[in-house]
Amino acid sequence: MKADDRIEAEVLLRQPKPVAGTKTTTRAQSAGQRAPDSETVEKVANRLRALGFEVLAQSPVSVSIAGTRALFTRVLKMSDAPDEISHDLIVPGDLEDYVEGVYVQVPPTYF
Amino acid sequence: MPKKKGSNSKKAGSKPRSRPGLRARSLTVTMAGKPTSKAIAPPDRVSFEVLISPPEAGLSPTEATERISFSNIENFRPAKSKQDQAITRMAELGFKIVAISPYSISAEASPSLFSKVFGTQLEVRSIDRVQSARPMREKAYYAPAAGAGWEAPTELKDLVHRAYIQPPAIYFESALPPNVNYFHLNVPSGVAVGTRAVDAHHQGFTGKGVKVVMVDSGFFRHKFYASHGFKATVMLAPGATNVTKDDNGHGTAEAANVFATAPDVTFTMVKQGMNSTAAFKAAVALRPDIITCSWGFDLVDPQSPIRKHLTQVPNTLKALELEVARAVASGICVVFSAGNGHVSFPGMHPDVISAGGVFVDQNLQLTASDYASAFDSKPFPGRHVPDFCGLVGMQPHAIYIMLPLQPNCEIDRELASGGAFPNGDQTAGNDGWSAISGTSAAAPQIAGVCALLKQKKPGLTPHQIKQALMASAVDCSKGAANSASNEGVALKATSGNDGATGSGLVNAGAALSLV
Repeated sequence: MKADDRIEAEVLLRQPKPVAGTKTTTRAQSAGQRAPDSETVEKVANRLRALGFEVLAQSPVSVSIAGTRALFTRVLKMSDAPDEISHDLIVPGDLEDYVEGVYVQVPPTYF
Repeated sequence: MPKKKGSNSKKAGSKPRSRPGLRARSLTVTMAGKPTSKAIAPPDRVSFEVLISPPEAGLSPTEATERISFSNIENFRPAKSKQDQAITRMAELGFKIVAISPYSISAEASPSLFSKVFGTQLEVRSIDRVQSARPMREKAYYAPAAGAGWEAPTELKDLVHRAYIQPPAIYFESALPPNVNYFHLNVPSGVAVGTRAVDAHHQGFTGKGVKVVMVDSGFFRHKFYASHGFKATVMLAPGATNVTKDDNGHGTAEAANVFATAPDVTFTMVKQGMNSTAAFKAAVALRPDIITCSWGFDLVDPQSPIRKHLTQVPNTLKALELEVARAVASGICVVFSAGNGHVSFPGMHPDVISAGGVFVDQNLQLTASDYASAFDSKPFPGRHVPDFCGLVGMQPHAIYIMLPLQPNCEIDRELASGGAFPNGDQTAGNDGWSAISGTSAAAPQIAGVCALLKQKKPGLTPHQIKQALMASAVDCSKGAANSASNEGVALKATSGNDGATGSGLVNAGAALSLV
């Protein structure tokens, strides 16, 4: 896949309380409480692979994925405009019980 | 800021290692372009510069009787129409045009095409490309054979003066930094003194046995590291490529700050690709004692002229927020830079050590760095940034600590192009040294100090380490932080804990006495 066609995203797994779009923050003392178990993480990762995504990493927090723009557009309804990166994508129906959201990642700023 | 690279999955360690003592012999390349005996294989392309025939009554640069400089360079500019014709005909002949300037055309071709079109012979030569403390690494390339002729073909006869094959560049990096005529700190000694890490070293604490992982742009094996006995392992995070390169330069440079304060740590660089969260997960998976990160995201409203702070962490960074919390919960001490005028996340995460900046001058006087961030976090009410500080320079560009990096990388070129200090660092753009800092330097300095404490008391929790460092920091009561991080209001340094510097400048020696 060409470098400029590659999109990477975090598939945020459902936590005990919703975190996306809220002011809820997570601290070390509560991190990991009732987090998704490894079976759930593996189920989501396998489903994403089946949908055509490359699974880069997985944890009880999220599954890191990569794919082409065309794949993200087809499966997650990302905008297909070349200069536009959608930051909130659509979760496939069969993953809604396990996934809170899918979010495209952008590189950080080095300080 | 330097761009991150795009990424294609590639396994670490896939590039061949050099073999010491091997020398390539000169070989005559046939018109078919195949070497006649075994040698280090050169690439299958030649890169060359084409000089266009000079204007009438003009001279080619190779015929100049006076030194070419900005005052007379226009005398050597060929007619654009001639250059345009040359480009067209070169493309028709099968050459690939890669760059065009008013003075020359950069092109590539296979060795056989070059030989055939210009009626010449090429041979394979080798060059010792990088002088390093490790065995010499060689690179083979094609060059005109001694005594070989050269002639432009009919299609180019009136257009092209000559085509010169370009040999590979030689990287000149030295283990020792260049001399410059402004006050700055060297590594490791200047940073070790400024952070009082020398006091710890004299007590026998050097970070031995402590695992530190840095997530950054990569690590180039600069001579500086080997000559000081500093050892590093490098791995690729998911999506990253080129484990031996650091084309940005940031990671290679900032890693020196870790070794300055903790020379004997077990150090790993995780080279990140496009996804910092995936890279952070990779760092956590190594089960280190300390993770240090000199990057982040600027949580401001991009439409606001005063850089109004966002009130919550964006969804795209929620996974990273959780991963940072999990890492600290698992016992890893996590250090993040506070930013350089940025409202930085995860630098504002309450569970991390947030590293701000203090400038120490040649008289060891402390001033809050006006380059470094200081603010109260809105997504995390009650969380002030920074907790305390490392060594950071002053505006405009915090040119302060002479650090090693990959020669000719983005930072090397950028700092060299700024001119005289304080706008440039007055080093060459390809010498493998740049004078930089920012809170990018503060975080790894502090990470190294954390390692000193862990060596003395391995059971210390991240919270205990943070408390000890805050309680022992040297007060800074002069100056103010970067106003860009606080909606235009620069937080001031005062006696005691203050908005600009938190507890003040890290003091490794004093911190050790508290644990």
